[in-house]
Amino acid sequence: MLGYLMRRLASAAVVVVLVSVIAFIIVSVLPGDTAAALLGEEGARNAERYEALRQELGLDQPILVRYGNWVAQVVTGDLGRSLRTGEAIGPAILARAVPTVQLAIMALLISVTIAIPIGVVSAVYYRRLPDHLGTLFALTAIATPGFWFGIMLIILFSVTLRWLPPSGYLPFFQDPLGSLQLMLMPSLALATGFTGVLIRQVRSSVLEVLNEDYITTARSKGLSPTTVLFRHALRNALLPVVTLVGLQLGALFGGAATVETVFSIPGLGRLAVDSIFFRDFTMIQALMLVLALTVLTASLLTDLIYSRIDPRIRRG
Amino acid sequence: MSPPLLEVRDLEVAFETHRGRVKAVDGLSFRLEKGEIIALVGESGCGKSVAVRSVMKLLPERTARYEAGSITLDGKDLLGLDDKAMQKIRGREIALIFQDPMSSLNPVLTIGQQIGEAIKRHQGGNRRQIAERTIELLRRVGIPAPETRLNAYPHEFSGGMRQRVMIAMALSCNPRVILADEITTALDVTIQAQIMDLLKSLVSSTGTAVVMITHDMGIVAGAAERVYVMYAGTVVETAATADLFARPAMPYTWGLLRSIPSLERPVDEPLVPIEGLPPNIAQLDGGCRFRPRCAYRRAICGQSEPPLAPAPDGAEGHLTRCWGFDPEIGWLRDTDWKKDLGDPATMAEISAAAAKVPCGRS
Ligand SMILES: Nc1ncnc2c1ncn2[C@@H]1O[C@H](COP(=O)(O)OP(=O)(O)OP(=O)(O)O)[C@@H](O)[C@H]1O
Ligand code: SF4
Ligand SMILES: [Mg+2]
Repeated sequence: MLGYLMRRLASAAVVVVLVSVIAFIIVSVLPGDTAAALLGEEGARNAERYEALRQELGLDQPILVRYGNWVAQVVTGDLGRSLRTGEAIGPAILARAVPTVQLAIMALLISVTIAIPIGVVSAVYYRRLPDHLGTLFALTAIATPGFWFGIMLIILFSVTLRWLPPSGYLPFFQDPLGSLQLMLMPSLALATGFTGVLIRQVRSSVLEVLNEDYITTARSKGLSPTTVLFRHALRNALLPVVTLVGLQLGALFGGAATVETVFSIPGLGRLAVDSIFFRDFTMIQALMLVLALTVLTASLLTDLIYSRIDPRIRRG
Repeated sequence: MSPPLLEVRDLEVAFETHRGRVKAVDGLSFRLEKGEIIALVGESGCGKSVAVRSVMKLLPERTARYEAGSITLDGKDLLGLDDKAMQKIRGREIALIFQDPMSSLNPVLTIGQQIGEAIKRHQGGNRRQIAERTIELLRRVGIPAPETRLNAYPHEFSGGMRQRVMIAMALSCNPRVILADEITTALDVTIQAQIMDLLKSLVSSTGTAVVMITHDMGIVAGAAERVYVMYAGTVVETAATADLFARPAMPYTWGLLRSIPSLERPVDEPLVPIEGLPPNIAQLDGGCRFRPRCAYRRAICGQSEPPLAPAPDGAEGHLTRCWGFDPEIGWLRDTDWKKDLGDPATMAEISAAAAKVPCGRS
């Protein structure tokens, strides 16, 4: 197990380096730069001020030098300062991560609690009415854009019914109930697509397991259909689902960008969007690094959980 | 006379598939007495597994149709029972052992859990009693150091050991009938004999009756008291084992017997496989179902299906479904099946027809 962990960490390190290089390249080939963005269209026409700002921000140096400087800085744990606001990037990202993590956790919980029962019922009632309804629901969820669904939720629950506040953010530890209330609609919006995908996965995975020989063995012992389903089928069927959930975490952060914009949540997604608009190179690079680390950690955790529930891996 | 322990009569089972109705069992009958071992023998696809799964009502409910016939246990009808009532029969009265021990145990539950749940379901008891009973069962099927193996998972056992676990599971509630569906097919030849011996000694000590499914005539000879030869969903010949091997009375059985690899046979003498492919039961035309592959066929064979009737020279209870053994018109009664392989012209026709079929059935 330890050797396995070391190998995983080594490959993770390689991925992080690759991501940082790619991030650097993408950012440098984007048209326009921070100086232009900061000065605005008018200001950028003033060549003198523009050049001065470029020098001040270090943008006049060759890309390799800039990358080298950046890496040297990052390995000491210093992510540098935002080109746009001048604030230290580390603390800034940490502060913006809190709402996003809350959003992602709530969306995941919502997805899983909705998708597993619907997927299982669909499989058990294969090609009968509940399955058709479940499939319709899943496909609708997959086809619904999260931001559009978010806006519809706001119109229904905030504008028409006035049950929920339309947007904004409250830290969870300051006012848990208020925070959950505010985050409910954004999490639902973020959860839509993933819920649909998850329903399909649970359904097909349960269907497959129900055809296995060991299910017939279980039935041949005289176990009731409920015991067969919950004791013998579900645990096997949920193995691939765990992997899917782990893999989807990265995509969830991508979705957070639009949802946070729609609901005015000061999270990482919004930060990324703003940073890209302002060509805030240092911030974009740091964000990509953080995202890469998050996805890698999630997949490592997934593997660990998987090995806990699948005995074939646990000791193998 | 008391009713047989298990009796299947004129059973017909069909499946609804997207290509229409597929008949898998077509007028099957057999009976099993207390403590008896019988064998159902036939080629792949002749309906053996469907037949034993029917007895347990384990066929997919959505697609399987029991179209005719009856299945009785001690005279009590099983086909009419609902699933709740069947649950009390499964595992307790009738147990099933499958072909592939690799896939028939649940990979995420320990074998202690998997054997224990059957005991708990039918006999109850607390954790300790169930564990003790499980250990005793594992010891009886020859698992070394069973106390230490309760918490092991299936993947930690070899194929032969897993099949022993399956046998322990089947025996766990002292069933009256065990259905053993090709339990040695997936195993190494050396292990096959061990498993068969184990099963035989266990059932003889407990008095459990066994329906053995196989396509291996060698296994039949060593284990079963009575044989039912199945072809295309029905029985084409049945006899006490010794009688069947001494005086087989049906060309299909001859084919099966010729295909047994034997020690006496010179190595360079080829096995004689049965020429042609098993028919699609949906396309039976009313004649003898083996006729397309039978080198002894005559005109009458295409006109009507022969009945399952007493073989003229066989012992009591020897039945065959072949016009060639009809007491009046039969032309095969004096045929020496080991020497006479049938009419050469007919054989050539069969080979030509078989060659025309691309690969497997369409
Ligand atoms: N669930 C099912 N749906 C449709 N057809 C089926 C189903 N199960 C079995 N059949 C068909 O019924 C026929 C008999 O199958 P069965 O499994 O009983 O054969 P078998 O004699 O056990 O063969 P084998 O030696 O390969 O195990 C086959 O033609 C098969 O295609
Ligand atoms: S009835 Fe005719 S075709 Fe059928 S097995 Fe007998 S001889 Fe062959
Ligand atoms: Mg079979």
